[in-house]
Amino acid sequence: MARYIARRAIALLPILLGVSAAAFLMIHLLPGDPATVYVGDHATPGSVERVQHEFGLDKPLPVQYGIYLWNAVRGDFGESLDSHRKVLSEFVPRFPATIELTIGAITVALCIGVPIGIVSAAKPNSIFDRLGMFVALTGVSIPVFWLGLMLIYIFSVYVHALPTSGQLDVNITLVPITRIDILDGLLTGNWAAAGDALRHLVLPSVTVGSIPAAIIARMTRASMLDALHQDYIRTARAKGLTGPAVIIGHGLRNALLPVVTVIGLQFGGFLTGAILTETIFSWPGVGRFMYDSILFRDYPVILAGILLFSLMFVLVNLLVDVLYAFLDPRIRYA
Amino acid sequence: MVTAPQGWRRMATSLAIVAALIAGVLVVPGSVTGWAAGPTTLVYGKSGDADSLDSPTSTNGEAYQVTTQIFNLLVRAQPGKTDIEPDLATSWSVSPDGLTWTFKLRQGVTFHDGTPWNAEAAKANWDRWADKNNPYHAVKGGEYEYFGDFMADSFKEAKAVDPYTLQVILKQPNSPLLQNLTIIAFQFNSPASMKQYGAEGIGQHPVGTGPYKFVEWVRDDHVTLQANPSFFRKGLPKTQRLIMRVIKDNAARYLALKSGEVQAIELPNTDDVKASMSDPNLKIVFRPPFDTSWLKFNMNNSLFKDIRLRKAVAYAINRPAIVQGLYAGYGEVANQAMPPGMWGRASSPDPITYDPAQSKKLLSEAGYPNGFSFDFWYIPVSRPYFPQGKEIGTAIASDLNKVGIRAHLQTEDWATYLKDQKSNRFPMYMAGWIGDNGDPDDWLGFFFPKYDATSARWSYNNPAVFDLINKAKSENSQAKRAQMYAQAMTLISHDLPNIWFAHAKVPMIVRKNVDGLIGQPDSNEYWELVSSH
Repeated sequence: MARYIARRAIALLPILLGVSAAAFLMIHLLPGDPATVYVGDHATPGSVERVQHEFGLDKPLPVQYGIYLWNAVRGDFGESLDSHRKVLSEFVPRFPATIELTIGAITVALCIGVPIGIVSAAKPNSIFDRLGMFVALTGVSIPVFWLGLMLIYIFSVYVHALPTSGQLDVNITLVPITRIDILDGLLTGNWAAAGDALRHLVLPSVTVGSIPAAIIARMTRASMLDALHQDYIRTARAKGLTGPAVIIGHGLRNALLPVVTVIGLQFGGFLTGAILTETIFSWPGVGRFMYDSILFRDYPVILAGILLFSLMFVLVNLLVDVLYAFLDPRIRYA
Repeated sequence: MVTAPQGWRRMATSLAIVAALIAGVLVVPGSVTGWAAGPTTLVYGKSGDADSLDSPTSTNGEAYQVTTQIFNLLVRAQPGKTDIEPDLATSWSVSPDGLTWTFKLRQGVTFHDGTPWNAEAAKANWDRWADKNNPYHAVKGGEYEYFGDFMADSFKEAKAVDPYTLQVILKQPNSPLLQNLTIIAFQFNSPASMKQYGAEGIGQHPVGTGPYKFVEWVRDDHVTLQANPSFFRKGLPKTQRLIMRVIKDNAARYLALKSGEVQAIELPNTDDVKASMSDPNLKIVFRPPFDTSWLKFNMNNSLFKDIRLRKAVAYAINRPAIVQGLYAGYGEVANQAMPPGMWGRASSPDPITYDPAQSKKLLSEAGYPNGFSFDFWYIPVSRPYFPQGKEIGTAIASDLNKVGIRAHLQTEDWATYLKDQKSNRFPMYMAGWIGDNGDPDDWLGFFFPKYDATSARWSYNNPAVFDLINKAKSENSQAKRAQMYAQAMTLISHDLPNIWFAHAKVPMIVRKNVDGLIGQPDSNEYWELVSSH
């Protein structure tokens, strides 16, 4: 297993290299000069040239890429054109907020998707099944930004139950440890902060989790239906087992494998969902930062963001592969 | 072995616990609207975050909205206007040769860190802006752009004549100087804080003399400010704490206002402005028009060298109808470069009315009875002066089509669009300007200083206009300057290098219980005047 993980980890390098080259090329093929954006309306040819030189934008593309790679392997992803701070130091404080949102979204996706899938599969073609699949189809069809705004409208503006945006009430002071606010609240015994952070997390998590929840529901249903027609289920029922003991104990355990795969593949969905959702909910994470950077043409940040997202995506899928072995002891890695 | 009824019961119990937890979170009383302010706190929803709170090195409007509350200028714009009123200077005069400006400074003022405000403190700031070798000058990415654009050519030195008299000595007259000093980039920082935090640290640790002291800045989230009890305008600020929250999405910002989490927002969507007119909890405050949009002819293009064709285009466009239809009720048709309220406007510029018959006549006279075609570039982003670039562009093209002029709509990304205005790529394009200060030079000096055969932006060639505008810059008498700008504007309107399109007021929406908010033309409202009940 250790060898397998090591081999997969080494295989990440060419993937990341490919991603960085493709991203670098695509960004630089786009029309528009970042130096002009940077200097703004008052730009003079002199100030644009100076900025181009300052950021190395006047060098040939392969040279720029080579310099970028050389610096990147040493942990230097350049400076943001917007804030003039190191890209890495811009990402680090924002990353925990995105992790918090992603965990929230995965929780929502699993809590909604898996039960709907189970109920639909347990009673196929029943009203529950049809209703469940209708909900799933709706979930996958609703645009994230629209759902986010509707949730704010209903739960914040009308019901006044949840805050519209932000990660934590500005009146609450919280000592940052992990910068995952709920966790920091719990670690420091600041229950008010933990509760407030949880309330802030609900709507963005539901928004990001909606599409993955729908996909997980459909996948769970299909996988469960397949499992429930297997011989071992018939055997279990013949032994006198009924209801959840069969469906959960025997059916779900065996149906989980494809569901775990889907969660891994949906991880990309969580990240892209976070870009829009963090913007709508003013969530101070990496997604909103990426969105702003794309609008600003902040090349160093966009590149580092693409690399970071790719790395996370690949790592999560590696984790999924490893999880297989635990879920299905028959799977072994050579 | 687990029997079925037991299993269902366990599952039901688990679900009930989860449901109870969720319900608990949702209904915790009084815990939800923690952002909401009482009379002691105001929360303002901004559309973007500052880049730095070191205003001289920033050109970012979002930064200026914050620093306006922390710092002061020598002179500032009056509430709701561009006219000047005293700020850290109480009076001023200029020598007859226009080379020495003398400012009498306000006494008894201290910075938030206790440093006294005096001529030495003022000089320390001028030195920092002007002198590249000053230890606090160089800031990574900091540009001193406004100093460079409006002051650098003429500035020689700043002198502390006595503790409360500052002289600004110039190499050449700079008549707009006083008006330029109302630009937020000329705010004064505590010299002691410069020493304490260093050039790079000033942007994170702003220490001014303003109505609010800086408390914290959580990037991309909020800035918290606390009232300065020693503020020199007695009785102000009216609210103890001011929080400027960043909510970038227009719709989300509006919903935060509706829910009561914020008390005022800027730059709402036009539909939300309409909706808030009938909302009993909301009201609309306008920033006076301080912008102009226009359609720019590239007069280097052979077609538009002919004034008859320029006029044919102008007469064919129904500007009143477009402004009425696409500016959500807060636009007005422009007839010259500067918005109403500015001094130096032409009293009777050549009128351009909607007259398709006249347009067709001019086309025939110019040898194009069946019209002509060209690429018309529309603005790819939303700006106050062109709130809906594509829709306005489409309406213009549709009007032109009615007289046989076929305008092919084109656009590209904003960065390239800005760049291409300076080339000859665009035959005709949409452009605009938001004022920096209340001086006509900011409007005319930038767009009509010279002729450039390689640039659509500077493709208009009338030396008489350039001469008037450049001379006005070094004239001391405001009355004479006003006359020169008006004369230049009359000449420009006669030649029609641009079709002046619209000026737009900019709406802000505030909750009904908020009093005293006055929209500023430059968007930098004085929150010291605002209270809530």
